[in-house]
Amino acid sequence: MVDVVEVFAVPTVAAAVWRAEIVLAATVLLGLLASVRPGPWPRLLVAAGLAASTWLALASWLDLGVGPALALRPLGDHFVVDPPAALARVVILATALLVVLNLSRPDHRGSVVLALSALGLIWLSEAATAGGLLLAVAAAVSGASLAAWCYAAPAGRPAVRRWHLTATLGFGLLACGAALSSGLSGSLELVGLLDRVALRPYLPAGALAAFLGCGGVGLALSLLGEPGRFAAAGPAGDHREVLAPALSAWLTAVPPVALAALLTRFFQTSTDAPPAALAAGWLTWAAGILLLGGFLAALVQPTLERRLVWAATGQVGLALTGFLVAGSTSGTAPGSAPLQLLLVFAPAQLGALLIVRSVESLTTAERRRHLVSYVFASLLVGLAALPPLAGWRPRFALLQVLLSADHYPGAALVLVGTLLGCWVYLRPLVDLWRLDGDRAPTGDAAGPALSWSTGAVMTAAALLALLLAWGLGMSPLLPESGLIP
Amino acid sequence: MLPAHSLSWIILLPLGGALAIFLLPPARREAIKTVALCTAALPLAQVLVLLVRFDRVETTFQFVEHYTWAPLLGFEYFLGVDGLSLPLVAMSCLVAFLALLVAWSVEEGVKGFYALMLVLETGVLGTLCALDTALLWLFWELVIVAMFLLVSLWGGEEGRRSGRQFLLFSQAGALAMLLALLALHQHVVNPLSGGPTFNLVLQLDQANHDLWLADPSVRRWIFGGLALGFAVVVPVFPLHVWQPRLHRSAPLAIPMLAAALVAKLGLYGLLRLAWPVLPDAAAWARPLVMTLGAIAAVHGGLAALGRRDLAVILGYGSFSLLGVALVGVGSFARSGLLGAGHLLVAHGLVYAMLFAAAGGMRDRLGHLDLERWGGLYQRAPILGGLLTVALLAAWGLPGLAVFPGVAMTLAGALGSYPAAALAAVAGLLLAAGWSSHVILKVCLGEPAPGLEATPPLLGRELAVLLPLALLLVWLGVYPRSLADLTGATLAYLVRVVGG
Repeated sequence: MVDVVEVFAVPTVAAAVWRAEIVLAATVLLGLLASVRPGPWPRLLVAAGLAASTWLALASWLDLGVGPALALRPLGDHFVVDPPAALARVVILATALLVVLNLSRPDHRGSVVLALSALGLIWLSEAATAGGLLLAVAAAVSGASLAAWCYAAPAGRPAVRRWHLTATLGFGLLACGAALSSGLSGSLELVGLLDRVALRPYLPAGALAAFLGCGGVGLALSLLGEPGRFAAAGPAGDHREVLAPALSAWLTAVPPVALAALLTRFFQTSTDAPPAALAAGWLTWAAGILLLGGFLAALVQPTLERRLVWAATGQVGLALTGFLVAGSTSGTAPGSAPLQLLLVFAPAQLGALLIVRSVESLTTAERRRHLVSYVFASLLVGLAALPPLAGWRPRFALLQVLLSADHYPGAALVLVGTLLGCWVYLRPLVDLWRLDGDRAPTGDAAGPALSWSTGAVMTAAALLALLLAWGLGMSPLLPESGLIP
Repeated sequence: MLPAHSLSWIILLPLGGALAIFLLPPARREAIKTVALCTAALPLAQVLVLLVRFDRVETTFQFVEHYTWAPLLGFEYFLGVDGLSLPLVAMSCLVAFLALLVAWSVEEGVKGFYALMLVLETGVLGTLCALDTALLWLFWELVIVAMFLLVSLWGGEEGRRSGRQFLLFSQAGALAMLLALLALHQHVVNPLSGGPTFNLVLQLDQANHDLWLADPSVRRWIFGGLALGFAVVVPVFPLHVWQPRLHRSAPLAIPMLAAALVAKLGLYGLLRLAWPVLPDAAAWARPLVMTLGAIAAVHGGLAALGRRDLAVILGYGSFSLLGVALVGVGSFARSGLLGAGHLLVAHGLVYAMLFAAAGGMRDRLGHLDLERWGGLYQRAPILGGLLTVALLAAWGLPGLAVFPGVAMTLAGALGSYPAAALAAVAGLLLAAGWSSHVILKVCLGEPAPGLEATPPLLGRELAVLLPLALLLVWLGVYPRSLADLTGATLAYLVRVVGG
């Protein structure tokens, strides 16, 4: 007689680590089956599946955090669940749940592909080999692209198509870069790739730089794309009908979190090795360009939504500066500061984007009366990394790490980015509450009445409360998260 | 009996008031104003108790509260006051309370205005009491954000431009300061834990500085970062360009707070942190500090002479007197530092009174154009008289609060930098010039059109101006009451910086 329990028995810890993804994968499959007939079932199913997997991911993160950081490999050699990946998984799943709950359009199949995108991003955060990386990016990009298509208004379809093309090109570049870099190092493993290349000094000097650059640009293109397009004006100049803002938040805030967890693993290397120095040089340039480009582009955007979307690129640049010293032993675990920064950024960005259209639809007098404007303003202060919201803690940690490693160009970049970020996020506060109201339409010119949904405001308020508690109290990331040894 | 956590109560009560205001409906303006006034009155009462209980001989910090906050990042919740900070805390509580009364006529955006005033008060008080440099920086950021919003939202079109400049300058300064604080943190060792620390008391002890900090060039860079952060809010020449625009259109409670509270933080920061932690770098920067002080004293006086708007004149006058105080700070001599310590308090009281009186004038005629004013003595003799007292105090008339500070400052600076002392004297002469011009234009002559229809003096105006006038006279006649409080701490500071 076959014992079913024995057949499916797996080591307890590995199973615990794995089950969030099993539930999510099952959710995607069941959601696809449920999508055959129109109706709200796919969305309800996905919401329930995401809630369950978030709870399971949270439990396994708490398990992992106790004691020394374990690097479990539940899906073979291609994926590894270390503390940063476990934490990123919690954030990805929780954000996906909030996004699905706040999507207002009737196309419920979009939530299924969004769950597929979440699965891809989780794999990305766990990828340990070039093969795993490619699989993860393919799932993440195709899921996100399909979700964007489902929730884009007709005016926004060309923008989504352009993004899809950009992402495909990026994926191709990533595949080339990953394959060639792995070939140079003699293994598909991402961890220690730079060290392995350092053992082969006879290789052409520029080859690794070219291959890594190719892969890096590809990764950036496929994951970050050109975010401004999602909030671009349609032919009628009506930017509001392009894409659901919750989805804009998903596309701009969550991929960087997964990326940060991946880079945390990739940069586990000795900084003395020449390839690592080379990678750090590339990173400095990339961080500078993303940071300056993102924030400066945000400054000239005509709407709050576009400003938030573009500023996300600047935040990614800011986070990248943390990896400049990832290999050094400077008191914090490699890459923990940038990961913390993005973990704080993701809920703030989501909260702000969930209610941004509500804020834009309010007249000046109403802005000063409504809870929505207070919540939005507080989230902007958080995004600007000002106390008492949580943004200041990772920024502080980032500077600490860079200074302790004597990396002054990186510290200068962080300062410039923080200053620009303050400018980008605080200037709308004045426009929001200006007393004369000379730019805000009133009366009939104000357009349709309030469009805010109570659910979105309550979600944003809850995220704000989380950020406030995190900013004032002890960070939940320390030290149990395993990010700080 | 002294309640536990006195300093925490003093700092956090205004913030609690701001939160309470947040919960009130905007239409209930009187309730909002009353809540604000009550929550500002409580810290004032509490600080009076602290003034009585303060041990004037002791040079260490008193009423200390020390808790671990985030040990892995090195943060501590560490508060305390000494002879340098306690008078400023008392003055800040008083001026913040009176500023709320001055702002009583604000009718637009009352809820946000009063809430932000209270947040600003919390930021200022927290900065003055913080003994952990990370905590100090957090309160500093609170001041910057609150000030930026107040200036930008209630300052009209000019205020918006002024706010943008203020944000850029102060945030750049704050980040430079943060970099310097982090550099200090990395290289000051906590003897108990063996790790780096933000603890200011440990940073003051040079024995805790590691070898990296022994390099003079490193210490100068760190000092530069700290000084830049503090200089923006004083403001020091040429970082003052955001200030004049603010005065033209903002409700005068804002410049009152900017001059009496926020500006003090810059000089306080220099005396509390930059000078004693890095005395050799301070000595290196001393000529520059004296030069900037001298330039501010003269430039402020000259700029005030050429203006017609009383609020702008007062802004430049405040800038000039702070330049004199900066000369005292840079003198490194006992009398110079005592003078600067005295001026920090006296300047706050004088300019709070002047801006409050100017606010009353603007409420009457809607403008502060000197050419269209006159006859205040005839129509509102008490208001005119109190304005005159403040104007006389502003240029250092003996018997009023500014004079002892100026005299000690000049005595300290003359020995080492006579040119800077002469520039300070020139600034005071120019102040005499613009003060007498203001008295001539505003108080004398025929009453301005429309002045007859206005009340001679409101009760709340008297409640604001009279206590300030009495304090100006008290500190002018009996300066020792303040010197007793600050003397021991400043003498310790002089020993540290080797004056």
